[in-house]
Amino acid sequence: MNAEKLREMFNGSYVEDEGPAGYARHFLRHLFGSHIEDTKQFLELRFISSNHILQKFYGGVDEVLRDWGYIENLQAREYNVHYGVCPRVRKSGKITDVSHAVALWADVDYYKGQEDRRACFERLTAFKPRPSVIVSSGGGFHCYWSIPITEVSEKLKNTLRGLQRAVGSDSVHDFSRVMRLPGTLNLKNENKKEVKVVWYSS
Amino acid sequence: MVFKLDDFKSFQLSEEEAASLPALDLDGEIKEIDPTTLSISKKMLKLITTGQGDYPSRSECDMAGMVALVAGGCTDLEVASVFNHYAIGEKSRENKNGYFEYTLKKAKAWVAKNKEEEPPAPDIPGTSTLMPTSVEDVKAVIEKTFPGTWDATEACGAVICQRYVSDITQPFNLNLIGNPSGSKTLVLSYFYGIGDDLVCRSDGFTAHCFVSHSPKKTTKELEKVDLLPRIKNKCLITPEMNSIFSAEGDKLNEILGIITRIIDGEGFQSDSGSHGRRGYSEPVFFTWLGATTPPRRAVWNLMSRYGSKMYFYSIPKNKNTAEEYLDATIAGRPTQEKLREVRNVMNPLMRSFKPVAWDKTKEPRELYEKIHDYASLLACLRTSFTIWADDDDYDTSSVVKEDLYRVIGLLYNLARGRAVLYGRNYITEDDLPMVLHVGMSGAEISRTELLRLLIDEEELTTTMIEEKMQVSSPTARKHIQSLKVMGLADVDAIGKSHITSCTLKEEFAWLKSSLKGKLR
Repeated sequence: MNAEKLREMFNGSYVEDEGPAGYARHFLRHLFGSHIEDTKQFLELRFISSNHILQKFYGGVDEVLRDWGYIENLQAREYNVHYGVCPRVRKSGKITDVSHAVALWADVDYYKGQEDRRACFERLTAFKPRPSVIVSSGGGFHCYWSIPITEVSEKLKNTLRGLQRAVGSDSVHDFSRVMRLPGTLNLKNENKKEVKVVWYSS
Repeated sequence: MVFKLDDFKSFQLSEEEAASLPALDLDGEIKEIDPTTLSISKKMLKLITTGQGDYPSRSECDMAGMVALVAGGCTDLEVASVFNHYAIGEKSRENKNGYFEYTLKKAKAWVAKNKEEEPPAPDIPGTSTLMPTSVEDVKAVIEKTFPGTWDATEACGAVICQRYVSDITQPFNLNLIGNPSGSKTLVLSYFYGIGDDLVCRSDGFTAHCFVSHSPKKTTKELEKVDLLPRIKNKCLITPEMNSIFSAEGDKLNEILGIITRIIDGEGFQSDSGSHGRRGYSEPVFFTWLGATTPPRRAVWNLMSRYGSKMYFYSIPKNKNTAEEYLDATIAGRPTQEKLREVRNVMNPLMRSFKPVAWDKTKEPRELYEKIHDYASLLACLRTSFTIWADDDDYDTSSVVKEDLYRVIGLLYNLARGRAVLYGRNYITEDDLPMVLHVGMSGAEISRTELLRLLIDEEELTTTMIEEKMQVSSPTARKHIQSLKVMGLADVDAIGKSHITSCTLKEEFAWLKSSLKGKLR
């Protein structure tokens, strides 16, 4: 995605010079708006290595940017960086710590099926409703559909499950779900891959 | 673009449809958690990894394991990961129609119910038992089994624990120095069993094995041979460093050159006729513990010239009586048995740490100033120079003293490693004596002995040096001149034929006042 498109995506606030940290912040700001700061909830970052998990909670999206040195150090230690798709009401990442959702999401892995990357991407952009954002996660695509802030419920969960089934996603409908953070690296395999936004539906 | 929820109405599943789908994705993001890092008992660890326990059915076995994981504070995804990758999950992998979710729900209910009953009955299948993890436990066991080795053990632990401080990226090497059979290797062996993901032990070791150029192997094969990528984020333990330090001349020069580059932490690349350029350009963080008898003067001199990144910890001479020796060896318990006892507490301790975010706000500036003082002291002790008799006096040349920048950083990291060992994310005064001991151990023994004498005496004379170090008068005078060149002492005049004396320099007066008697 070129800089022009990113500027449009981030309401003209995208600054290339900010590097991966700015990239992550703008993505998070796009997804969460000011919901985390307004409601005094927390954004969870979860750092996952092959044998250890570390959680960190932030009271605002900008705090992530300020903490980027720490995040990069953990990445250098082969921790994959994920974020909680739903804000947390307290400093904990369990399902009971989620009260509201700001988006619906799906995780589509093209490597599992017959589909190649391009065909998968074309299918996702043709899907109705078309995702607000598609992120290339390194092994597939993460799709997000922005919705008004909505209280989590069984009904919302069933909608999410149905949507994920329709789009061919893995079953990732738990509200405590973490997804890879754009601006970071997917270190799952030896070939490190950038996690990046590849589509924005204006 | 923001959608309305109604836009997704057509996707909403009925309750029946939802119930027929698996609730969690076992192929999700978390890959193969190391179950030894989880807060579960050894019995449960065995159950998870082997799938075998004293249970009549696989379901009961699964339930017991799941209760242990939930009670140990694991998240759903961690439990899912364990069941996805280990023997215990066999049934849930075969049976994807909600068996895992159902068992997890039951396990959570069981834990919630039993949490209220304190304490939980220990023999109920799956009850989590936290392993002992206190550093005080380990210290008590070591002082009981191998008296006199705790201080060196603590220093080694501080080196290993540096990996948990997220902003430490500089490798650290610490070598235990002591007499032959002086407990150096014993101390290192306490850490042998703490896990392949934490330590990499190498009993036979050369500097060239970091990045090999063996002509007998193909480039592809060499990738598996190279030591450097295998020690990334681990602690390399090499109990035999004598093979490195006993090299002579150009060989020693070459070896120390390689080691210096490796400890720089910026990877290592080298060229050869058989394989061309090979190596690793990415930064590689690791720590390194070694053991050696005191190196020769030539080694110290060469290390000084390389701006040595190797640090040393001298193990004090054993002052046991004959009776104590006999009790500890022939009359006492077998060494292997005692070693097993140490490892039983050391392993869970070293596995209990997690990465910490450092909090410098709790560290008073005075501590930094002290670390600066220790670094200055170490730099003085490691000064490289040539000294010779010149008529009635001594003369020196080629004086090389290293810059403090890196030394301060590395000594601070060592203090931080000790802080982690004691469960803190900030250093305190307690962490500094060990750092000072490392500072005091970083030079050949004659220099550190001289410094100790200088600290103990108001005024150090050649006669005192002759008596205490058992050296001749000219050598004693030469030592005093050395202290002057190193910048540790003030000396009025030195002549070949008259007795002279020196005093500790004002800038090192802190050694006498605040730390006298606290030196290890």
